[in-house]
Amino acid sequence: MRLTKELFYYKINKVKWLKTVWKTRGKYKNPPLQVPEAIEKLGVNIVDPLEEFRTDIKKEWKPPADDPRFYEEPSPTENPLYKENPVTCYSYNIKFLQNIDQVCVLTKTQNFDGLPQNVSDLVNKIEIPNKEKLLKRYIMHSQDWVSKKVKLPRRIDKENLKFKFPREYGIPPSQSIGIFLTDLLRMCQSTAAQFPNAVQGRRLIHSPFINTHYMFNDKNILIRGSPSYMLGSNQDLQPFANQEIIDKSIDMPLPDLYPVEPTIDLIKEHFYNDSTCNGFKLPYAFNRPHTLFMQNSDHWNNVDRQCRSLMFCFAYATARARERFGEDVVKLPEPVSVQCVNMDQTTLNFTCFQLNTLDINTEGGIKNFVWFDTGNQIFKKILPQPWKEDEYFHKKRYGEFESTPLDKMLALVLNGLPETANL
Amino acid sequence: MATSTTRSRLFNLFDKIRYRRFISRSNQSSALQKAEEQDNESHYPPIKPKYPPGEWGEMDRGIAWTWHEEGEKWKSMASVEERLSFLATKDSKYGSKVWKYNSIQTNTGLSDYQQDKTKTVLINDAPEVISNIDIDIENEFKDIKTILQDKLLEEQEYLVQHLGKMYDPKKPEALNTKLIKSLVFDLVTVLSTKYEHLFDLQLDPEVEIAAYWDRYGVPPIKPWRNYEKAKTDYSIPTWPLPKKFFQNYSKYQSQSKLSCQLRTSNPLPEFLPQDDVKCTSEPYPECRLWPNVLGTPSGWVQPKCDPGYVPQDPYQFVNLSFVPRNLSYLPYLEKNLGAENAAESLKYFGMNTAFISTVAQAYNQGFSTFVDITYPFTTQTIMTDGRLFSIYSYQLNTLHLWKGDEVNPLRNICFLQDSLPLYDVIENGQIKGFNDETFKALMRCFVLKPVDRGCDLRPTIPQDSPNRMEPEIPKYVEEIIIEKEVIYDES
Repeated sequence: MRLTKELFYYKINKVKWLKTVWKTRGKYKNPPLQVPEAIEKLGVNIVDPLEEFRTDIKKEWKPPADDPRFYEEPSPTENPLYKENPVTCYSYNIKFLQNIDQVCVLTKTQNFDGLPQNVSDLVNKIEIPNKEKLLKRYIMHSQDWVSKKVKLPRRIDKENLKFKFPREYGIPPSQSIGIFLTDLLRMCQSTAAQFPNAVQGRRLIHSPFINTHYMFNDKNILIRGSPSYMLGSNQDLQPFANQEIIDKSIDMPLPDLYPVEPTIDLIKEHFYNDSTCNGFKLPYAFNRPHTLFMQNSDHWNNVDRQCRSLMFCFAYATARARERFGEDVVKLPEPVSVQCVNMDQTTLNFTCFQLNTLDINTEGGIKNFVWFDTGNQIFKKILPQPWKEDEYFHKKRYGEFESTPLDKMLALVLNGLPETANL
Repeated sequence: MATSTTRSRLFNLFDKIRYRRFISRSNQSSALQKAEEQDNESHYPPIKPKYPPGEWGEMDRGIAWTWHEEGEKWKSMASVEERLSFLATKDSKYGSKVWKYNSIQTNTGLSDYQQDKTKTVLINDAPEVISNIDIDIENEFKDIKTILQDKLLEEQEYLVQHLGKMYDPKKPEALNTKLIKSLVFDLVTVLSTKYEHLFDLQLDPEVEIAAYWDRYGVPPIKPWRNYEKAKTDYSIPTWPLPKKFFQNYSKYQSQSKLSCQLRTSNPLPEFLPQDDVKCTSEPYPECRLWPNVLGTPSGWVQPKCDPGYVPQDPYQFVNLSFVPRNLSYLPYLEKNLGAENAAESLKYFGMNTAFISTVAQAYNQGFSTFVDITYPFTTQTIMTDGRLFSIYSYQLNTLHLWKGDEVNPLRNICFLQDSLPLYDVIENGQIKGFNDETFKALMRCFVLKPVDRGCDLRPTIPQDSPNRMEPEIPKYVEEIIIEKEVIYDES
């Protein structure tokens, strides 16, 4: 006998038919909860599973309290640093509209070009064996010799704005600057064989923190942030200019910014700490700021970077002056000086700052001094331009190698050592 | 008996059918040749031996020949980059199916498993090369001791630690790497005045390393779902599987993170000679369980060997590498497994990172699982949180880990000085109970000089460019001006 498909399905293969019937029309009713008497007498807390696992009502799920994956930050008002009155604040990523002029007005500073005399005397005095060879290796180390390649942002060339670059993989600028800076610092520190005090009297402090404030035009201005390294010393750095030049600075005029207000770029912040902190919880022998090292992985001009380093030098110098001469000091018995090196992938900028006064709220009187040495290029990085016909332009190239910026950096680092006074 | 005879007859028949074409051709050619042209010398290629050169044991003949041919292919590639890209896409463009071996294990009782997979003999002692170095604390290393103590106090007591974020779940790890970086930087700069090899080195912060290897013991994972080939080409049979999937070795891929790495141009001296009893016949625990049971996942991965630097770098050998002990992952391990088991997985984490580092270094010198190393690779790894120091001295003797112990008796060796305390406690800005022995052990790691091994370090790369030692950056950039003919329209 030959059955049709439908007959086979419904009459012969009854199991399958019943299954389909159960799937389409079948309903399972859960029996109600029946608690045995013996368990009721025990007084056990009984949970009805029909109520507990109901699908029609959604219950709110709460994450475990100690699991950091589900950590939620407290509201801003609960933060201990929160204050109702905002303060004008300068931080690492603020760029000034009238760059150096504006910063000089904000810090009451007179600007000089080039390095100060006692530092420039030290340039080219100290020799490191195989300097150029090692420097070239450090350049290649920071630019090419890192195996981990990261997806970089899409590039734009000013020569050909319409050209769409393919996606590039390489070393991000922040990482390459970090590697280059540590290599250069290691090279500078390796002179300890000639100058033992460079190691015994100094410590390189990684990512220190600074928090200071001062009054300007009857406004409380807060400076805070953390440069990448600070060279801490056990002795204060000697001033760059003598008392005669300081006295002459009364006649030096500050730049006129009208109609721009000097504090136009500063932000208002509710989270701040009123007290001055130089980065240390306990008194430390090597807490005197000697040289700051800062990394610039942004697209700013060198001049804007110098403004940033001036602000941080000023912050460190004020913190040190308050530590030395008391919290409310305005007229300093002795000047306080700090140096700074800020760098990007190819260039070094040097800043030497001397704090002569903290009387910044009033006009007139003596000024602070700053020396800027800007745009010391170690090498030039020429990126590929694939739209050009010649294959020469299709590869990344390096050129214009110069080792004098390293000599200047070395002079800054070794400035103030008792051994270098006689050089 | 009856079945075997019928089978052999059948096979003979198949062979005749297979080679019928050649038989007929040879007959034809012999008929055409003249008697004058015939030479008595044989023009046939030499008879292929049963096994390729080297020891193969009971391995299948065909498989042995494929290993040998892949080795020859590996040697024929000119540069290391080409070889590594070949390795990544050898099986398919998506990579190959491998065991993702965790450098830090999350299950209990896996000490045997980890030693077996890396074929490592663990010795709880320092090698003689290192322990013979004299450290004079009272004169030569007195300044360094004070600097180390200052640095420990500075990072853990004096400094205001500011990481930017209000709450960072990776805080303990970040702080530990920061401590290690500052410690190593200061120690290297101070010691470089006395020891030349510490001046001429490369220091890399925060490095990621990876390694790939084949290991004897477990058959390979079968690619039942070999879609990407079978989708496009229907002629590729998915069944029966080729012979290589019934062998006794499988693929492993692993990775790890270092907080700091010091590299030199010469390798460290070998800790033990390769003929030593410990290298050839020291027993090590065997674990031949299926890795999935022990919590090792599998997946399609592009095999990758990355020691943290590129093959062009002149500093090719890792002298010292540092691993943080305060891992952010560790509290969860302690919560789930208990403190003892967590400490054990941390102990083997150091061993695994040392193994990965040495394997990846060997790949950068042109060796691989196909071509075994010609000299042992040595490295030192230190795992620390500032107080406890675990010092691993690792020697990689062989990369032919896919061969059994009878054929390849060489084992890798790890010397371990586990959890040496540098001090007892820091209280009120002072270090209490400073341990001089730990300080000596730490200094010995730095002071150990790399040596010239007296052999070719890259024997499989004949065209290795010596220019990589001195990169050229010119003082002036050439300016190329392309002149184009201007055609004026005459109309």
